Amino acid sequence: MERERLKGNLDLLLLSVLAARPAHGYAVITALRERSAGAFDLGEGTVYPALHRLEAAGLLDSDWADVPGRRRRVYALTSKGAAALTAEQARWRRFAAGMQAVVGMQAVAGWPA
Amino acid sequence: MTGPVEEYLRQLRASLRTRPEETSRILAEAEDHLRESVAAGRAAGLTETEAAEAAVSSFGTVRAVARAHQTPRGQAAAALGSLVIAIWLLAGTLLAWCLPVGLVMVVMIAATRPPIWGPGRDPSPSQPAYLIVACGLLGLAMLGSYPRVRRFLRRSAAVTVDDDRR
Repeated sequence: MERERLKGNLDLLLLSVLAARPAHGYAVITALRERSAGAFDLGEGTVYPALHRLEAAGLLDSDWADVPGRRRRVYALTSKGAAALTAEQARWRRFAAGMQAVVGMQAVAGWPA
Repeated sequence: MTGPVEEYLRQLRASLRTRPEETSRILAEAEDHLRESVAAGRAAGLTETEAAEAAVSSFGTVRAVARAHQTPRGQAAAALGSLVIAIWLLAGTLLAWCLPVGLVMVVMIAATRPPIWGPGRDPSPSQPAYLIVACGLLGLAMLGSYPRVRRFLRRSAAVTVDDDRR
């Protein structure tokens, strides 16, 4: 359930992480885990298809970088991706505010304010 | 020696239903990720084997990762391809059984009827037997072409996956 909910918001999470700076897949996943204090722990291999999909949609751009002994794909936000992120963030804030108003702590009987 | 990472990448390569250039990219990214994950595990005090096993485990099962790289349309194409392959194999096997049955019928008819060639021949009663033999040969041909049909359908599914991604 938790994982499914996370998958539903994966695009916004990936765009948010890459808004800070270009990064490769491992760095994106590590940043997700660290910024969520371990709450967002995805099957790491399933994040790459999402990155590919966002790139195909023009929201990300990527290029190979050489590291000793292997190749590394580094992803960066495009201007279209930045615009999509802004729109998604606004949508998320409205949604989160609505959720908080309905199921927030103060609405639950017995919970301390 | 083949370690957990190399074995995982080998299995992933075998499981991916993507075009060669896409497969190459997926494998390069997976290898980069797994090597970095192993290095992090080593830095955290794990042995090489423990770090490799942990990296592979965190990456996800080969099946899940390969499936995640398929679009819904690609998954549908792969499912349809699997169904066609299964039907092809089943039909080929069933038809191939007609061959020995048909041959036995031909032999029995030849032994009990007038000659089928030459003067006084009577081919009509044995025609169904020949038809059954022909079905058997068709079944053998289907079984013989099974690997090629399977490769073709899997390649077709891969093309569908890639076309869908564009």
